[in-house]
Amino acid sequence: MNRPFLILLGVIGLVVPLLLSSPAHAVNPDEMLSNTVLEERARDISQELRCLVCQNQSIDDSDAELARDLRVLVRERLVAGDTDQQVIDYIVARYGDYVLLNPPLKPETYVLWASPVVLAILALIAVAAFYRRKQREAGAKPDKLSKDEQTRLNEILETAQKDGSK
Amino acid sequence: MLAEFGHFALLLILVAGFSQALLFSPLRLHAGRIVASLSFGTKTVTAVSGNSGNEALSDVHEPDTTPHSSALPTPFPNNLIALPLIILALGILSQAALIHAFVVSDFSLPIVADVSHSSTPLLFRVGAAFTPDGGAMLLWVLATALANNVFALQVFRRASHTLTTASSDTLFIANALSILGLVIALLALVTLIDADPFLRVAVAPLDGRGMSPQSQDVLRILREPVLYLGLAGLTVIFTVSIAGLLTHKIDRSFAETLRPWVIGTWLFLGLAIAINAYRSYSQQAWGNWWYWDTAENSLLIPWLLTTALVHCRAVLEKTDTLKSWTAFLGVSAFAVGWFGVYLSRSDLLGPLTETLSQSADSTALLVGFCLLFSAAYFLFWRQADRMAEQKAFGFVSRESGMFLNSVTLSLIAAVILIGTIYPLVLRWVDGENITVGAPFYVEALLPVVLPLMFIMGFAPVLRWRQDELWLIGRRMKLAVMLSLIIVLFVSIRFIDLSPLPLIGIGLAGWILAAALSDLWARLWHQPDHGESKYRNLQLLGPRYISMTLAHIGLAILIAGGSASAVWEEQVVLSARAGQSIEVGPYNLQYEGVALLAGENYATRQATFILYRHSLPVAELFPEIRYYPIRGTETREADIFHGRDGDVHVSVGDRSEDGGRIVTVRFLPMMPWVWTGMILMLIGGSISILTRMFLRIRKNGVPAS
Repeated sequence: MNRPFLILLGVIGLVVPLLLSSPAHAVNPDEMLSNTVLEERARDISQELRCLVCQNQSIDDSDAELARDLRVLVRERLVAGDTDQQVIDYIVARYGDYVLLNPPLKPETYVLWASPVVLAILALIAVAAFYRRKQREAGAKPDKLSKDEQTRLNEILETAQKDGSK
Repeated sequence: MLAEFGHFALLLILVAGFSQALLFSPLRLHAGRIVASLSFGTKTVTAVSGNSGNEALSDVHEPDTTPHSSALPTPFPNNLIALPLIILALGILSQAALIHAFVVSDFSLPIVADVSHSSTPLLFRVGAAFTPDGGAMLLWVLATALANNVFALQVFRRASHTLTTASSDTLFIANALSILGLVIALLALVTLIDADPFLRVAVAPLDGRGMSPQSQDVLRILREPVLYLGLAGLTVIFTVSIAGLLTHKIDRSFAETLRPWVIGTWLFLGLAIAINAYRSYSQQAWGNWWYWDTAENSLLIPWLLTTALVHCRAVLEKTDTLKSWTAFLGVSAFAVGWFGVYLSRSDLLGPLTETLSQSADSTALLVGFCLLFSAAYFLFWRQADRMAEQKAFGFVSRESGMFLNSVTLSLIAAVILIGTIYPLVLRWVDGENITVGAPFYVEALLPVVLPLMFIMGFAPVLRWRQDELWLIGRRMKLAVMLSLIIVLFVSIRFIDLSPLPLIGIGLAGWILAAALSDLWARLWHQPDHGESKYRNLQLLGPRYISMTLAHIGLAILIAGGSASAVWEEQVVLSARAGQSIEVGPYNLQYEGVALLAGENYATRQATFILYRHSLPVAELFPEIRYYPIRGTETREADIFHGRDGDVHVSVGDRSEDGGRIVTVRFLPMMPWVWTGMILMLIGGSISILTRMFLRIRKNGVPAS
């Protein structure tokens, strides 16, 4: 055997166990793909998809049978060479938008996605109006003490000083 | 027989609630007042008609013909205090009757047969009484009756020394008690219509269907009373706000009345959220503590509004401003609380949790909600403009900081509310199903949370009324430097950290640094007037301490949440006995699985020994429980809370190669999340307990 071949073998011998021992992310070891890049992608996709029989839980977290089937399906599509988007489209085509934890932007969800922005703008307008009104009211009523109040304050201060000096 | 007794007590609550509403009715007092003011003109002190005890029940009013210059008798006689007490006693009776039915396993009540079984342990038979719709509603009624009683004691006690002279105060209290009575009656009515817990069937089944295994947990059972106490607190806040609107009495004494209720509600709702989070963290193999599902959101939204209210109320008490905003928050907090109960009970939003075995009909709950709150908001709309605010505050001031933060908190609550109900509305409109999950909330809320956290850092050091920007800069010098150092350190030390968690950690550092630097300034920079620095510590006062604790708690919570999400390590493998698993700084040795018998379940209990630096630190026993009555399994994880992180172990089925599937996660800084929650709760408790303590010792209430 020549030297380059030995080196190659050595490298493979070092790298493969490293790849295998890196933290596995699948929920179940027998679903896990041996290719860590694909597995990483599968996990990312799984976190975007909803377990259909649970409450707002991703299939990555869920123990349910159906979630397991979906996880396996995602991995099958990835191994078949689909891109992430293709995998998601594939699943959405079968189960509808319901499986997407992040609702897609489409006419039905315009209101949903616009609501934070619209609410924030409304809140800004309301707050601005509040301060303007506040300013106007404050302008009408000067912040200083009236004459009576001033004399009363002076009286109090004087008595306080007398008490203090006693 | 006892159940019928309880049923009757529930009916009597309905009657007693309505009588409370009538006897304290504002109309009754208004009538007296109008007649009185007509007969005496404006110069003399208007006398609220003074009824003797015997006349209280009659609706006819004879205005007092002799005007009192001072020491007016209370318009409602002292023996009316008995009414809230009677309602409370009836509530306890009714709840006791239901619990008794569960304890003796009276299966002729369908509610018992549905969620209990003769083999269910006693503690959980009692707990099962709170889980079905009828039981939960009854608990809500009882909690509201309790709050009603405490509120009546609070105001009657005040009435005994100050009320006799101030008639608007009397009117305010009467209004509040009247509306409270109305709400109690409404809740009792909803319970009777929607989910009457005391119905019987002619032929009792031999045994029940068993308690849902998911809810057979001490924490889960504790959550219910805590949650409903929180809702009862919201009820009092609501009624006090409405009464304040009706009598134009939203002022500093109104804020003073509201104080224990706002903080108490904030505490109870927060505790319920914390319990919920810990429960989903330890249940099953999920290990996450927040899912943005309907049940969690319906707790979070009222909590957020209550948090906003805590701040507004403080501003109102201190400076007599933000009147209508405080009232609006007071009404809305209860509205979302009630609506949240409806949401988590109805099956409108996808599959129900397993704890509610059959979908219940909650129509009356919804109808009651619509009636009550349309009236409340109509009233608010009519009255809000009349709330004149004499005092002004500058744009840069403490009031401003707290006001802006309360607006932001409400904005967050509104976004979460829309996210929660949007799928429901969409399905109702065009039949399409969508899901709104965690990614949406993170994307939509992040731009709002950022300014919130930013203002939160320096709002506590702002001056009241008017402050200068450059002065703030000078005061925040230390905090800015500290938080920048934290961000720099984290971003250099963990170079491949994505921006999102870095922002979280940076903000947490900012709040923490701001709170600590302010504390430092107050303790050391304050002139000590010739006394020791220890005096400065005493001068801080319970309010400041509780606020600082709560802010630091939130900072720690955010830091822990961000960090544990990023640096989580997960190992899933098929383990054989004796195998050791490395995770984080720990080494976990799997010892095998034993089949054990629980009280009403069989469990496969795995044993793990946790080593750190080859020294054993703990034994962990995750389980798979099988409940034969319902034929379902639950998976209980076991968690070790270390100082630097949690080790979360759960076991699954046997894998094909004969090993046991084991999921081990190391969540660094996860204990920070729990510590943060506990600190926030301690902060709230300090605020409320010192006040109660001082009250009892009659030392007065601390000014600040």
